Amino acid sequence: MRVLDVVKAIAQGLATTFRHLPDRVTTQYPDEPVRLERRFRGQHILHVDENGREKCVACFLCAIACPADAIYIEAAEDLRPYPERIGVDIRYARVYDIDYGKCIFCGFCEEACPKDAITMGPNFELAWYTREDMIKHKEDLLITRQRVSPHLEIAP
Amino acid sequence: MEKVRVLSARFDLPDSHTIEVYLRTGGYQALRKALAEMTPEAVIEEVKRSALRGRGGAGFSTGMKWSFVPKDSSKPKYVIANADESEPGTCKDRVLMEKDPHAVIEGILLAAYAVQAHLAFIYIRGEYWYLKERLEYAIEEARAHGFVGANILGSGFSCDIIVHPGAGAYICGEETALMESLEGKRGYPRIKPPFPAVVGLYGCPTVINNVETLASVPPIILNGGDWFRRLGTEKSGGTRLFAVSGHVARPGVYELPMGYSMKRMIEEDCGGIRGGKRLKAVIPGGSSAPILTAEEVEQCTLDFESLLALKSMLGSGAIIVMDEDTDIAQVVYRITKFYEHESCGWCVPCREGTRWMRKLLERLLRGEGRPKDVDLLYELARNIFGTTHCPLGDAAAWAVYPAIEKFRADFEKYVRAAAVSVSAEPSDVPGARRLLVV
Amino acid sequence: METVKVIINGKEVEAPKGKLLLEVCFDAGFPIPNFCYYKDLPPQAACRMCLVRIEKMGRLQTACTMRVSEGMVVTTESEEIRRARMAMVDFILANHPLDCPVCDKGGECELQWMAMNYGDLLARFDEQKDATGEYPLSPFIWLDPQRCILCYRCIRVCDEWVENHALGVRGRGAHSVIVGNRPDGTLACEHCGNCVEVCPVGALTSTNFRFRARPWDIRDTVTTCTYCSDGCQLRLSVRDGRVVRAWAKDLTKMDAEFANKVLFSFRTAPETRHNWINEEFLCLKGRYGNEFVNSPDRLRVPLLRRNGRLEPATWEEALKYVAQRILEIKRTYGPESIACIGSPRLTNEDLYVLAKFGRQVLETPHVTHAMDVDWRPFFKRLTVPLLTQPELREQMPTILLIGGNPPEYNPLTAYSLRAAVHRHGARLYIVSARPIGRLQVATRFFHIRPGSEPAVWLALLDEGEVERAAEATLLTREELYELRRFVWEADRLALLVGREVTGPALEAAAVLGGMLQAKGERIVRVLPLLRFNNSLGALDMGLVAEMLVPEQVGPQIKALYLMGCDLVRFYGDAWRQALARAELVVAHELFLTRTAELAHVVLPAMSFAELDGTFTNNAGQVQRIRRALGVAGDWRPDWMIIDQIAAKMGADLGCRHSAANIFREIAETIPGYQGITYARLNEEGAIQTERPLMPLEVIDRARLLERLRAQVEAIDHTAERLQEPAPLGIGLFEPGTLTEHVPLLRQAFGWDVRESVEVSR
Repeated sequence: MRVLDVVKAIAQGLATTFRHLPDRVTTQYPDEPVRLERRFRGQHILHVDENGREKCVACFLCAIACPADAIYIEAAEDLRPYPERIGVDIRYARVYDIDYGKCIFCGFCEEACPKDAITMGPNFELAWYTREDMIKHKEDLLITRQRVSPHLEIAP
Repeated sequence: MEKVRVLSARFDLPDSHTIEVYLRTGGYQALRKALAEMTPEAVIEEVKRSALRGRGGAGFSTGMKWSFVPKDSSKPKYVIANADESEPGTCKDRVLMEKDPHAVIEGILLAAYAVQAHLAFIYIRGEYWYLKERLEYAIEEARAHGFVGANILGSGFSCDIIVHPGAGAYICGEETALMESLEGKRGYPRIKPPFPAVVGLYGCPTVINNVETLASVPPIILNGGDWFRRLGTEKSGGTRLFAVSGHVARPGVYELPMGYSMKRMIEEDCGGIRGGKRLKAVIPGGSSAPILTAEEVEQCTLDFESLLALKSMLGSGAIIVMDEDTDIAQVVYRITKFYEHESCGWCVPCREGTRWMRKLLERLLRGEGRPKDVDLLYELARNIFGTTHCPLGDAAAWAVYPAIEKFRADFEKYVRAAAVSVSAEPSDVPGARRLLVV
Repeated sequence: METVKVIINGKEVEAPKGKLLLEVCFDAGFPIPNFCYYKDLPPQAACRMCLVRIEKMGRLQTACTMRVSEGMVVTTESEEIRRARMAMVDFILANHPLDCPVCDKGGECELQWMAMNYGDLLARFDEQKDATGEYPLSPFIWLDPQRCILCYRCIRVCDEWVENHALGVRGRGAHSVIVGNRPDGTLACEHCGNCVEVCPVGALTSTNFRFRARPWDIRDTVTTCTYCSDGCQLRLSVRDGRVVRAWAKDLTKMDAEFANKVLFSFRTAPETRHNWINEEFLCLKGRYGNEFVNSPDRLRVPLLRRNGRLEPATWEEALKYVAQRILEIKRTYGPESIACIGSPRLTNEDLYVLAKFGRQVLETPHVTHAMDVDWRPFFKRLTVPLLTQPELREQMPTILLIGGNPPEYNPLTAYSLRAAVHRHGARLYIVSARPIGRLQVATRFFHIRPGSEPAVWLALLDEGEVERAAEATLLTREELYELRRFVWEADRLALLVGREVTGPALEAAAVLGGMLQAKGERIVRVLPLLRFNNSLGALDMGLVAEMLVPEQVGPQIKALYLMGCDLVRFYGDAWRQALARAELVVAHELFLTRTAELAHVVLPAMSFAELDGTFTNNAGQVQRIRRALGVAGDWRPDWMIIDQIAAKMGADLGCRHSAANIFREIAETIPGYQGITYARLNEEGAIQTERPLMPLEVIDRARLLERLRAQVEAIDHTAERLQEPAPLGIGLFEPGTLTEHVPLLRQAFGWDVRESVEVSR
C-alpha cells in the first residue's frame, strides 16, 4: 500500500517535470537578448535634460548615501550662461566615478538624488580584465554616451 | 458738541504764516507766560492736566512722555518735532506748518523749556521742501524777535531750532528710525527699550512729538489744561485736525473736538458721500488703522477709546471714506504695495511678509486666485502682526486681516472668478494654466 | 555680580542680572533658535526666530535683546511660540532659493536645520521668486543675495572684529542687498573671510571652498596657524588628501543638537572643545593661506647636486652624502666651520633636534635661526610675564601699544585690542610713527617721529628725560606726561611692543614692567609682537647664536645646514655669493627656494599640515600642530632627517622616532616647558610656559638708561612724521615663502612669481 503511494507520488512529481521539459527556460545569452524587468538595477545612467545639459549638480548626496563608498565626485564651477554650460546649474561634476568593484547595486544613490540625475540602468555586462577598468567615469555613464547592449531587452 | 477752532484759528487769516499776524492773534504769549511764571515742572503738569495725547498715531499722553526725561542727566537733551508726515491720507501737519508755522515753533520752545533742552530739531518730510523754507523763515523771524536763540526773552533759557529734511522714507516717521536718520545713518528703527526719553538722539534723552501735538501746547499753557480737556473727552483732551479724504463731497482738513461723531462728520461737515452713494467702509487713522464697516461707523466717535473699542485706532487722524462701489481687495492691495515698498528690511516678517502678501494679492487680482488664498493671506497677516521689530509690520498686517474679516466677499469673488474661468477652459489642453479647480 | 531669579518654562534659574535672556535660556538647557544673534556682537533682533512669551508683556518678545530681570517668567516652548517660529521660517524661505544641492552651505546650513526643526514641511509660498545670481564681492568672497536672510552678522563682524567697515546694505525692504564698500559694490578690505564664516546660510561663500567638498566628506584637524606669532588655532578641513579650507567656528556655542547631529557627525576630530586663544577669529592668511601644502611645486624627492645640477636622488644617497661631507668638513676645517640655521616657522621639536645636532654632533657654536634672533635681550631681561590674548581681551583695562601694525602683522592682537575696547571699555593708547588704519577704537593716538620709539621708552622709564624725548619724538611734554601717567597710574597694564622697538629700547620694554610692579600693587603684562609663528620657540630651543653675516661664509664658515630658511629672500642677494663660496649647503625645504637652488643637497621636508609638533607663540603659549594630511610625496619631518643624518654619522639624538618623544625631552630640559605634555596640550589647548623672570635688582638700570640715551641721540632728528596710514595689506598682501604658493592669493593679488627652476629628472 505504502509502496504504491510512494510510486504514485514519484510519478506525479515526475509528470510535472516531464510536462515542463519542452519549456525553454535558459536564455541563450549572448546569442539571444536577455529579458529584464523594468526595475532591474544594473549599471548607472547619468541623465541630461532636454537640452543635453547634465542634470547632476555634484551635490555629493549619492556619494554619502552609498553604503559601499563606490562613488567619487569632484565638483566644479561653470559660470557660463545656460546654453554654453555643461550642466543644468553653475555647479557640475567634473569627475564622477563609480567603482563597480565596490558597487552593490542597492539603488540608494538613485533615491538620494535630488535632481533625478542618476538612475540604475539595465546594463548588467559588468566584467573587465583589470580593477582599473571597473572604475567607470562620467563619460562612460552619461546617457548620451552609454551604448545599450544588444544582448538585452526590457520587459514592457 | 461745540466746534471750537484752536489749531486752525488762524488758517483763514491772510498772511497767517507771518510773525506779525501771529503776534497780533496772541502768539508767543504762552511762551512769555511759561518763561516768566512757570517752572518746567509746572509746564509738564499743565500738559498732563490737558489730557493731550500724541497726534502722530500712537496716542500716548504727551505730559507723561515729557515727565520720563531724566532731570538729573548730565547729557544734553533734545526736542524733535516729527514733521515726517508720510502716513497715506494724512495731510494735517502740512496745513499747520503752511498756515501757522509759529504755533509749531512756540510749541517746540515750550517743550524744550519743559524738559530743559537747548536744541530742537524739526525733521521734515523730504517732499515738503517748500515748507522747510517757510519754517526756516519763521525761525529767523522768531529769532529776530528774541523767541529763538540764546537767552529767550531775557529769561536765561536758550534754545535753537534746526530744520532737517528727510529723504522720502516712510519708516523715518517712526521715532527711533527718525533719530537714526537724523544722526546720518540708515533709517532703521532701534531696539526698544531703552526709549527715546532716556536714550534718544546721539544717545541723549530726547522728547519727540508730532507737529500737531506741539502746536496744541501753546493754547494749553495760555488757557489752562482743564480748558483744553473740556473741549474733548475725559481721556482724550482737546480738538484735533482730521484729514478727510476719499468719496466725500468736501474732502479736506477739519478741526473737530475729540469725541465728535464720525457719522456726523461725514454727513454734515464733509457733505456726505459723493454722488449720493452709500457708505461702505472707513479707514479711520491713516492706512495703518484697521478698516471700519458702515455699521461700525454709526456708533463710532472720534476719540482714542471709541476706536480702540472697535479694535481700530485713531492713528494720525487721516480718515479715508469709501463708498459702496469700492473694491476692498483693490484697496488692500494698494496699501500692501505701499508697505512692501516702505518696509525697511530690518526684520524678517515685515520684509518677507509684505512682499509675499503683495505677490499673493497681485495673483489674486490677476484672476489666478485659488480657494486657499484668502485664508493664507489672512494667516500671513496674522503671522506678521505682533512679531515685527517696529510698528510698520503691525500696520501692514492691520491693513489686511481686519479687511478680510469684514469684507471677505470682496476677496472671494476673485477666487470664484478664477475658478469659473478655469473650468471654462478645456481641461486636457497641454500647458493649460496650472490652476486648481474647485 | 548681582544675580536674579527667573523662571523659564517652570524651572527656576539663577542668572547674572542684565544677561541676555537667550543666553540664560541656552545655559539653562532651553536652546532658542536664532539666526541674527551672535555672541559678543551687538543684538540685532532681525530674524525674529527667538520670540518668547514673557509674562506681563503684551506681545512676544525677542530673547536676543531682552535682558533678564528679577522675577521674569518666561515660556520658550508653547503652541503659540511654535507657530510663530514656523511662521518666521515660512517667511525666510519664501524667497530663499531651494537650491541646497548646489549651495555650498548645504549640510551645515543653519537655515536647513531650522527649517527641518521649526518649520513647516509644506511650503505655502507659491509665487514667483525674485531671483538673483551669484557674484564675487572680492577674489575671496562670493555673494548670493537671494540666499541672504539679512541677519547682518557679516556687517557686525566686519565692524567689530576687523574694523574694516567694508560691508553694508543697499536698497530697502525686500530689495535689501549686502554690498561692499566700493562704489560698484565689491569689497576693499583685508579679505579675512570672517563674514563668510559667520554667515548662517550660503549667501557668503569662500572662493577656495566653493563646490569643493561637503561637510560630511571632510575630516577636520585642529592645528595652529603657521603665519604670525599670535598663534591662532584653526580647523583644517581635508578632503581627499587636500586641504580645502581653514575655519574657526565655535561649534560648542551653537545649538548642541545642531552641532552634534549635523556638524560633528561626520568628523573625527577629537578636539571638540573650543577654548581657543583666537575665539573664532582668523585673518586672511590663516583662512586662505594654507593651500600651499597642496601645491604641485612642493619638493617630493631629495635633490643632490651632480655635475653642477640638482638631480633627484634617493634618501639613502642624499643622507649618506650629507653625513659624509659634514664629517669631512669637520675633520678638515674643524667644527666651527659648520653653521646651523633654523627657521622660526618650524616646530619646537625640529628646532630642538637641530640645536642638539649642532651642539652635540657637529659641536659648533653657530646654532641660530633667521629673523627674530635680535629679540634675545628682551627675553633675557624679562621682568614680568607675557600677556596672553584672552587676558588682553578680558582683563586689561589699560593698554599701551608702541610701534607695530597689529592689523597687518598680528591680526589676532588687533582683534583682541578691539574686543578689549568693545567688551569692557578698555583704554587703548597707541604710540606710532604712522597712523594705524584699523584701530580706530583707540582712546588716544600719539604720533611720533619715525624711528623715535626708543625716546618714548626713555621718557617712560625716566621722568627726567621727558625733555629730550619730546625733542626726539615730536610729542609735546604734556603728551609725554600724559603717557607717563597712563602707564604709571594703571592698575592693570598691558604693554605691547612692536617691531620698531629695537636694541636697548627692547631691553627697556622688558624692564619697565618690573619697575612698575616694584612701585606698587599692580599687574603688568607685556606682549612682544614677534614676526613668525615660532620665533619665541626658536629662541627657547637654543638657536640663539649671533646670526651670520654673508662675509663669514667662505673664509670662516665652510658648511651651512639650513633648515627651512630662505636666506636670500630674508637677507638679500649678498647671500647668493656667500652660498656659492660654501663647500656644502644642505637645505630642508618645502619648495625650491632661491636659497635651495644654490644648495648642494635639498631635502624635502614636511609642512605643518603633515606634521605633529608644537609651536610657541609670542605669549609663550605652547600649542599643538597636528597631522592633517596623509603622505603625498617622499618627504620626511625635519627632525627625522637630522636624526637619520646623525645616525649615519654614528650619533644618536634620542628622537626615538616620534615627535612626542622629542617633546618629552624638551619638557625635561628646556626651562619653562616642564610638565607640558601632548596629552595636556590636547586637553587644555594652549599652555603658557613659565618664563624665568629677571629680578629688578640684578639689572644695571643706570647702564641701560645710558645706552638708551645713546640710542635716542642716534635718532634722525630731521625725519618728519608719516601722515599717510600704511596701505591696506602692507603685511597681509605681500608674497611670502609660503603664501606665494597659494593659487588663490597669487591670483587675487597678481603676484608675479618666478618660474620654478627646471629640475632634471
